[in-house]
Amino acid sequence: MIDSEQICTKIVEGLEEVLEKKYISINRFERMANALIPFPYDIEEKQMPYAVVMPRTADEVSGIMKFANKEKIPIFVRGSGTQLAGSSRPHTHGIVLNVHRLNQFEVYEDYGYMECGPGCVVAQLDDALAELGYYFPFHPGSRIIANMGGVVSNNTSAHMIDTCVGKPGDYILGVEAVLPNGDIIETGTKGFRRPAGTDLTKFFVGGDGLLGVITKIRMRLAPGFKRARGIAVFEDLKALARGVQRMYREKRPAPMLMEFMEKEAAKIGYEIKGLPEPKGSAIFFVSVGSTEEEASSKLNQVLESFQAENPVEAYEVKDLDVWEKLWGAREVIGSFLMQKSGHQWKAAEVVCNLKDLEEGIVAAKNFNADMPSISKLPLYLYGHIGALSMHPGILIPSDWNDEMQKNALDEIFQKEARLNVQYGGCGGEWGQFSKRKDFFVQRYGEAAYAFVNTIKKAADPNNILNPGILEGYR
Amino acid sequence: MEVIVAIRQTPLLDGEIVLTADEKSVEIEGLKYHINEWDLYALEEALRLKTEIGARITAVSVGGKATEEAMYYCIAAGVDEAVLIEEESSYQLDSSSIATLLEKFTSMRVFDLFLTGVQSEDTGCGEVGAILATKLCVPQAAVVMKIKSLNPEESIVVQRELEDGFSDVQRLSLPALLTIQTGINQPRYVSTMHLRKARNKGSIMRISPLDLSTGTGLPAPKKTMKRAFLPEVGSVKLEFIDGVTAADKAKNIVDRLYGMEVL
Amino acid sequence: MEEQHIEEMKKKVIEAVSKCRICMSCYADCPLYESTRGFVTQGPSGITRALYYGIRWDALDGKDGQDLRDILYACTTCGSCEVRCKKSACNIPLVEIIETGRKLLVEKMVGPMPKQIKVLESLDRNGNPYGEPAEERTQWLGSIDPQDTAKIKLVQGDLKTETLLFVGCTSSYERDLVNVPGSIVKIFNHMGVDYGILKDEKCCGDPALRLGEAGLFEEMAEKNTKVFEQAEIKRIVTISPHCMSSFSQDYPDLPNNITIQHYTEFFAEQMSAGNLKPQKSLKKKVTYHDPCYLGKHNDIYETPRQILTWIAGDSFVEMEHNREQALCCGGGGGRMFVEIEEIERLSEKRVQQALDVGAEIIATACPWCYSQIADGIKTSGNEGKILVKDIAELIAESL
Repeated sequence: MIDSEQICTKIVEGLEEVLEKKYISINRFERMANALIPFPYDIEEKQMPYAVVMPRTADEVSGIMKFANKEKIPIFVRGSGTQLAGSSRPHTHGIVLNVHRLNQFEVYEDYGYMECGPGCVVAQLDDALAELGYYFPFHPGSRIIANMGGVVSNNTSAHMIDTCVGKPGDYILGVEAVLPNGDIIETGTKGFRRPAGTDLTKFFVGGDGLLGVITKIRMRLAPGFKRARGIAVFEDLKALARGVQRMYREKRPAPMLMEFMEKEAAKIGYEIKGLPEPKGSAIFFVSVGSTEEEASSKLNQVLESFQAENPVEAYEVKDLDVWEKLWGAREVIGSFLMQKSGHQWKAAEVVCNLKDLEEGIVAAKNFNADMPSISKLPLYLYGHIGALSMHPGILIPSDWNDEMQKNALDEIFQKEARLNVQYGGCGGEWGQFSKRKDFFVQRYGEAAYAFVNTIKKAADPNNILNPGILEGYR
Repeated sequence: MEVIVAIRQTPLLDGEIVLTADEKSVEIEGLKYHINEWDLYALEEALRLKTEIGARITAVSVGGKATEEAMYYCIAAGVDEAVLIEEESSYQLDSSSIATLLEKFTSMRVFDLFLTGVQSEDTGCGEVGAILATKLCVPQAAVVMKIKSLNPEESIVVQRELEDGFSDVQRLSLPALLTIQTGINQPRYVSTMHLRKARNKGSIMRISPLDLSTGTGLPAPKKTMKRAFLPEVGSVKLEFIDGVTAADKAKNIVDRLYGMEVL
Repeated sequence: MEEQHIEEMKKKVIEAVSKCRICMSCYADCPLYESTRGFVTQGPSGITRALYYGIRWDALDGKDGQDLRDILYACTTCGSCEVRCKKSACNIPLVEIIETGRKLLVEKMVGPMPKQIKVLESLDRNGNPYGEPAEERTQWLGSIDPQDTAKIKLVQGDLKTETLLFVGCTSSYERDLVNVPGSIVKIFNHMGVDYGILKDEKCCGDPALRLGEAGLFEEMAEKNTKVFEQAEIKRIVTISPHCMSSFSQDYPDLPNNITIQHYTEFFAEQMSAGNLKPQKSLKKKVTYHDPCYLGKHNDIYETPRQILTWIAGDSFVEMEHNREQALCCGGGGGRMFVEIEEIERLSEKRVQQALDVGAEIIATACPWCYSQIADGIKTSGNEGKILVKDIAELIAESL
């Protein structure tokens, strides 16, 4: 620990020239707290940061990167730390660069875009833009505290269906980023036509935090949508999958949101919300248009596809109170199960291809059947089925020790990798590396993985920026 | 390392002071007591040495039944031994008598460091430490604001507070006596539960002055009280300044001061 | 405290915090995190996790202990985090964990914050947290119309009373607030209620418990309970929600047959029974700030609103964050007695929220909220634009 103390003091002294001392913390607990992620096992001593810094400007970030390269001390960038594949946990000792103070936000209606820092909270931006009549494409479950830096680095679709609104990153016109060597660059455009050819924006949007620190995001203002809401209940889970397949094959307009709950999960959610027991697995979806008629028309086209698979019921929901309950039924399952059992909820992200969806949904339902440490744990299935994405969720006992917790998580990620490789899909929410690095190698091959490493080495020769994400770790 | 801390219990000064009929002292009926503020800092400094280098701490006080509470406080705070030199009339003893009793006690012991507070809240004399050090023939430093370094077998380096923000640094060979200034540290809070435990399970070593003195009872005081009186209270004029906002009030104050030709 | 008891407390904390999923949802509602903006240990999950590691690393002493102390004592105990955690996550008893942490640090002689030590000393010696003499506690009666005070029973010794008005320390000693107990007295007399005030009222003990001094709280609760029993009290009406909360939730041995009510509950009851008939007289736009200890801790949201709507009718407006989402004023949990560095003062933020909905009066029902908001009005430069009033004052004015 003495070595660590010396380093802590050296860091504070070195960085005092870059940013105000009060934004450099070596408080032991603050350092610990900046290594916390939603994984249930303890931080290891080797993962404890030396210091936490909170810069306010790109220049300060640049100064920090330069210092880090000179002293060969890693920098781990972090916002709220809610990413579910472990990218926010420092792999080794280093400095945590917390982006909370990089939270400037400005809407330029004249230009038709907004600019924000990586430390802005997703829900606050969403609400601000919605008030002005604009659509905001990022909608993760953690939106009330998730930061823009993370959602952009992951380019996370979360609830938004790609085939309707694209990836959220498609709305980003450009970024300002600090490269690992401290150089500050600007990418993209201030207009709406994004670069043909090399667009450096792509190195950072969905960049997994490998090639630079995003300090500003410019995103175009898209008009808000009018919505129509629908529900379909299928007795048979495979019929539900077939319904979705039909939707695509019959060229129906894809909805913006399409969630499903398998029967067991639906039962719980419905009961909490005071709804009568569902007669099968349920799909809820939101079709959008520029008018309510358009939205409704699109919705009904999707319903037509569902009808062909003999659902128990399928209809447009006009009563907003009823819709609030149905939509809310999904949200309460996790917390209800956790509170009832005292256990921790952990979900995987299995993404299927269209052709094998029927098989895929069954595989997701039986996700933990062949997993030695978690096969006996209860499993609940739900997800963004419109994007062919499924979340098998498992309750892991809180009284399991760290080793057992790690084994369980490893098994979940390994099985997830196997299924995604089998169906040719890939996660669209939580990044490609960290605990998913094995998947990347299995799916795309050693050559592809080596290629990413080549790029990383070129941009970050000292491996200063977020080391560990690309390497993957336990 | 052996550290002794002298503790004095003083009256709480937030009520009315009533003098005795003979105008020689304060009426002790109805007084409430606490540990002298300076001594709390001295105690905390001793306990800090205990934590850092494992020093053994003895708290010693001269007092009557009421002083037991102060001793239990020291036990609860973490001293290794609490000694009460029992004397009900301790408030009538002057600094020299107290220092003599402490000297007699201390000479029966081996010690490396003796800590007292700079002064007491009630008498404000600031003499006990200096007289005691002289009697013990040990070097002393007064108004210590920081212990800079300590070589437990040999010497101690201290920083002392002077006027106008100045300070000096001195090295004293051990054993030595320091009088401790407030602000040297942050005295800990001793909780009700700790006090309860100390009262139930702690033990105070009680010594009579007779066991200490070689002569006939208490050492004779070198000072006698001529007369005690309360200062004259003049008539005080109190005026509340009007104003709705802070800015209004400030303006009114300034106007008044100009009117009185103070500004 | 016995070693075994300390070990049990530590074990409970570890068990409770182990269930936390570290989803960070609680940060969205934490007023401390909002006002300090950024350091993670200034939010519920970070604070409890700091305590968890403090215990795991055996780091409750020395510099680490002091760092942990600064983290644990910054919390206002408002409970917003628990509301969120119950709704969307694991229902961790976050405030209880933080308060247990404070108890542990007090036992380690590391807590409370230095500036709070004299608060505890004052509670022990003077029966109030403000260092004010115990003898002066009922002096506020001197500023009230003698006609009103003549009807009050001053209860001590063998004197009995069925209904007790528990004034509380802030209402008794804070000169700026004297109109609050004064209004309550006026309303009681208007209703012809037979009631008493304790001649030697002592603090309910809430600040002691919130600061982690469980032993002192026990003693204070025991003494107060004896006094209530001796006076054969059947109903206690409090001015502060903190006193009400302390009596109902924290006092271990209060007899079951004593009804504890905050004055808004009592007055609302009397209004429904027709004994209290304020006029619908308030024309100014008035909004209501939910005190955390009335709302989040005791689920009393609608009763004060009923009273205000009765008096103000359509002039009553809601702020953006109300009821369970009300923004804490920053005064609870011992925060009244110590300054925390904030980027934006909570009280000023609340004043702005009131101005945003066009309110001319912020009504509240807690003396600490009242103090904090009054300060917030001054420090934000909004004196003259908006007022803070206690609900009792508004009722009294409308009689």
